[in-house]
Amino acid sequence: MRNSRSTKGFLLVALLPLLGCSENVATAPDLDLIDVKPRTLEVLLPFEDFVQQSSILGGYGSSSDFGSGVVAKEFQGFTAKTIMRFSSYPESLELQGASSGLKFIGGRVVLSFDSVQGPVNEAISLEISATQQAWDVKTVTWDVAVDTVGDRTTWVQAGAESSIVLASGDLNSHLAGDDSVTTFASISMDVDSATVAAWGLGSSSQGMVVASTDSGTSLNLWDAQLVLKAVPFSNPDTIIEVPVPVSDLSFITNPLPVTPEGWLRVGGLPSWRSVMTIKLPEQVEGSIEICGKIGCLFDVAKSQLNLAELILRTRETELGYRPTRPLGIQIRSVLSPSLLPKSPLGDPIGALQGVTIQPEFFSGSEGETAIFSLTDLLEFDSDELSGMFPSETIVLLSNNEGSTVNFASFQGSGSSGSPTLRLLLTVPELGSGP
Amino acid sequence: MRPLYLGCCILCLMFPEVAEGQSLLGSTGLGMKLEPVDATQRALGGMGVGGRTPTIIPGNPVASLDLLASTASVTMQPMWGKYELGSSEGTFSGTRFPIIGLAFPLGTSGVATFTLNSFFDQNSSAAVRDTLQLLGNDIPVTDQSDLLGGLSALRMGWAQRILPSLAVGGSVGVYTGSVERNFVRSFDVDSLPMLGTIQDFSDSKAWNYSGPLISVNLSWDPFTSLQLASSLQWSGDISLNPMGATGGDKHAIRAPLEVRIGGNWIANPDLSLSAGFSSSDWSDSGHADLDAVAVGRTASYGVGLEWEATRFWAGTFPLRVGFRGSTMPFLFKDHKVKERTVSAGFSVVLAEAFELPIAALDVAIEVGKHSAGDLRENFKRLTVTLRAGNR
Repeated sequence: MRNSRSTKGFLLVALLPLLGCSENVATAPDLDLIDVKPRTLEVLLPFEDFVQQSSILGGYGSSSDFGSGVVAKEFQGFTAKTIMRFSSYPESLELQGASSGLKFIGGRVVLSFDSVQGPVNEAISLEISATQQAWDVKTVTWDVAVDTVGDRTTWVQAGAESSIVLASGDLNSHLAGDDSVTTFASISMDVDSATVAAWGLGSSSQGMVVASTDSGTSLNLWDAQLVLKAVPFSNPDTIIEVPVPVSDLSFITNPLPVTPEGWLRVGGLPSWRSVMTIKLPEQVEGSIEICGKIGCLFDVAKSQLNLAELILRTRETELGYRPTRPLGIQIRSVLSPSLLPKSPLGDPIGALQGVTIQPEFFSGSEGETAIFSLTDLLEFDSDELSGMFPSETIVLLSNNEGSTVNFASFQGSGSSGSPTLRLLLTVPELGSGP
Repeated sequence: MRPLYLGCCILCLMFPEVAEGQSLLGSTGLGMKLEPVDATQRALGGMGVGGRTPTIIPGNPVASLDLLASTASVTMQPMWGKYELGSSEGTFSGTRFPIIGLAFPLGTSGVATFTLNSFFDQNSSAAVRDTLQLLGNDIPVTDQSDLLGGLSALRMGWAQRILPSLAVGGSVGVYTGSVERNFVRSFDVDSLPMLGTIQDFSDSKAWNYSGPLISVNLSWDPFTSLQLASSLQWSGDISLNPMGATGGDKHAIRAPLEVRIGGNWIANPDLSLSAGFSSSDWSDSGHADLDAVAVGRTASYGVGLEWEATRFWAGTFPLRVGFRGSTMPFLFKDHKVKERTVSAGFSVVLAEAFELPIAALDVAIEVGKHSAGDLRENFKRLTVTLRAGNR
């Protein structure tokens, strides 16, 4: 009996102190008692102190990836023509339950536009012409008709000027100039039976060029169609229309943007990318807090990285390629620099959506700053760091490559607004013991 | 009696940390010094020597000489209170397990003991909010520093009664334990959306302790009603060893000689008076940071009264009251830290054999305060010791 009572007593008492087991450590309002005095300092590294190499790579994607065409004439110094090829014609058609062959006697081209830059509410003169030499949709440019492996053929006349004009007309432009409103307009232009017949042969020279003859405008061509006029063999008294979609579509521009020298370019179509190989320096100039008034170099490896930002300054982009909408630009790691320009890339560094830069930043001569976070890329563990910091190759690219002909321009090494790397470093001036 | 052992074992497994502290005083010097005394001594304001109750006290195996059976004891110590430091105030609470002990009687006149006790409590936390001029903005930062750990002592002891009125004892042991310091500087840029995320600065370091310690004890009853006892504790250097990735050199801390004396006088069969005194000097530790905050020679003293009021449960029911005053060995913000407590307690004998307790519950409640400059801590400390012998 006594044993039983003892046991119960022990268990009861054993539980009582546990009521107070939750720990609530008093928090002192200062650190005087603890030997920790970290210093956080801001360091701005000039271009030459952290960039080992930079280059501009172009040719990513093709104008044919854009999915629509551009037609412009001397719009801010920029001229563009859309070049297209139509699909094969149908050989027969189902009419009243029976298949019938077709005889094509002519046709018309219907072009649909969805936005305009330049004067609005004015008629815009357009013309279509038939190409006379072979061209390749993936590689065609203002100067070159074909640029494939083993075959580089320039246009007889640059800008496919050797094409034969088929028709012209005025687009009654009631398109909205405001990007926020999408409106549509279309124009139909007749083509003769000979042209229809030539296009039906399916040769590589088959094609049509759409150009504007009014200066100072730029149109986005979002759809094109060849509507054939045909007579069915089974019913020669009837004329029917047979739509034929576009099979290949691209656009050519003039002038072609020159390869940047001493500055950076991102975006465009085909797209440009700017590549930089960067490396943290082993030492930076210490502040008075770190070094005292005499100054000194302090080891970056002995600090902890709180923030790393690449600061770029925008520069004026060439007319015609100047962004008209905000551009999203991101930075990714180049996973195999030796494989550039075809190296695989890592995930975006910093914000997934990159940095959005307003179009007006690229129109002034002063430029504005654009800041990209590199903290995730450059952070290091000083305990695990052995020897020097590793080099990292990064690439700046457009969030939506192939979605616009416009590109971003940034100052490079040769200007006053050259890229800088801003670091926030905390130096752990900790005591030797607890 | 086996369930009693089982209960103790479960507690030990549940709470492997011997000591956890809560007071702001854990942040200065080696932390807050903890007296290795059980609930009976706590209630009497004692120093761990010269008590009447057979129990297990680290560094004093003589206290276990009158245990009849192999005994295990565990002491639990919930503590809670509030503090004021200048204009800052707050609360703290927590539970320690300052002593775990085993004693094995060797014949009728000897005993061997094994104890683990906390020695310095190094739990503390501090936070400061400030503003740094960075990135062209005033950026709010919070620096948070936490210490977690403590210095403990693991000892084995032996005591022998060499005359009916004279007993000697000694123990050898090692310092053990560790402390981890975590520091985080966080940048609050929520109010500055134009800035990107700034990563925290964090630093974590850990050290462990090692070093020898030896104590000798003497207990002498010059009269039947009077018992005098003393204890002398010598420590070798306490070695502070960096752990893991923590860089830096080892540090050696010279621990001082610690003297304890105490006694009790049986005024009549039901009433006894006890008193105790201890002293040490941490000012010559050989560690500059520690010496800078060392007070010099400090003393603790206490007096208490025990009255066997009646019988309760399976044995006597002693009631105790006491007072303790002490000065902590390290300064807190350049001020001496004083502790004053008044205490009360009792014991419940849960099982006895031959009219002697072999299982008991000792309880002490202290109400006290710490004062150092503009620091005021008012606290309550409950100490519960479970002693269980194997019949």
